[in-house]
Amino acid sequence: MYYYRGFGLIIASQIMLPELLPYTLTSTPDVHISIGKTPEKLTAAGTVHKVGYAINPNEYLLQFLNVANYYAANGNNIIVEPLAGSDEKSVRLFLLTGVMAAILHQRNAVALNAAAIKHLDGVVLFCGYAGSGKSAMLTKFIQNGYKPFCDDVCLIQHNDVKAMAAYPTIKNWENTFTGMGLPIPSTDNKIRPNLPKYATYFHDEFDTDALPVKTIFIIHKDHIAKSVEIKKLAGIEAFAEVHNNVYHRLQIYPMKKEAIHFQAISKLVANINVYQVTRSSNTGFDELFQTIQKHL
Amino acid sequence: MITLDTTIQRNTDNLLTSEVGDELVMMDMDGGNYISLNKTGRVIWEQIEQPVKVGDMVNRLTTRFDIDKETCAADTLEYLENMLAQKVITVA
Repeated sequence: MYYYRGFGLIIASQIMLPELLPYTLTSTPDVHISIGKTPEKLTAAGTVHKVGYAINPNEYLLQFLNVANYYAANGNNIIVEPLAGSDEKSVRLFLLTGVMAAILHQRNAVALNAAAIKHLDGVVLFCGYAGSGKSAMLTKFIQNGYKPFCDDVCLIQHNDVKAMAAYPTIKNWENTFTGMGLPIPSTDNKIRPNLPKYATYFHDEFDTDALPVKTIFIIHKDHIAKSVEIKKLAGIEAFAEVHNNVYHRLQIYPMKKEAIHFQAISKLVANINVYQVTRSSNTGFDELFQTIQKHL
Repeated sequence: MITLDTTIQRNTDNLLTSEVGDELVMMDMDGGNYISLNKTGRVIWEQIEQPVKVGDMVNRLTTRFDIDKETCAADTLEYLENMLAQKVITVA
């Protein structure tokens, strides 16, 4: 059995998860990950069935063709059934994204799809749709001397407006490395064998403490924009933009978690600065970095 | 259609509310939609904690905001129709 800290939880896993922070077991694990046979379908009342997955407030069944079946239940139990011919990296990738998202939602946690840097005594988050440049911006800030906090996901403690990092791994497309003049990591770092996307790690710098959220930048990519534009958001605009970045947001509706997210995100945006920053598809990350840095 | 004789009240059954800056943000739990009330909406919201006749509310607002009754009634009725369409209020 392997033990890790990840997603603010102590995780006991039969699957090795190098993306997470190894943990010397001193307390009861919050989540158990085992290899086994998953249910063929979910039958509980209120289950919503979609192509490839089924979900209800306490269970999530993901059947990912040619990779694995995953079953997450009660916020503390995951069964993984790797399929014939699958590779370990692909199995881990969906385990650490959609399946762990379901576990977090089952536990009533609120998580954002965000990359983040440390700044002063807190953290600054970068949100935005896939491809907007969250991880690239994180990498640009690291290149300029800032410390990473998280990539992909962080948990929000709305009672004290703090964030907790999920795990110390950053995922970037190959062209991000070339565009920033950084060496392309080894093939071993590919997150899936045939995908030009690479993981880099910051285990030694990983901060397991919850830190105050200072600012959220919502990054948009706009093909018409000629330069970087930035706008401070307030009220429902800020709420809507941040709410759009709830981690695996579509899970919260069949899981009946709307109220928890509404209260948490409205409290969060009432206490921090939220900026919308728009870049053109041609705008280099230098200009985006400079604009964001001025508003930290 | 809401008139000065209509009694209205907050629809608290399926509505969550939270203050974000100057706005009162609300989420309709049925549809998952969220809306916000501006300052005008918040003033009306304060007045309808209990069921209230629209005409009585217009009288109170006229006194409080130094506005003529005809304008106040027209503006209030228009705003209330929007609030009803958004399921923020119900008609008793």
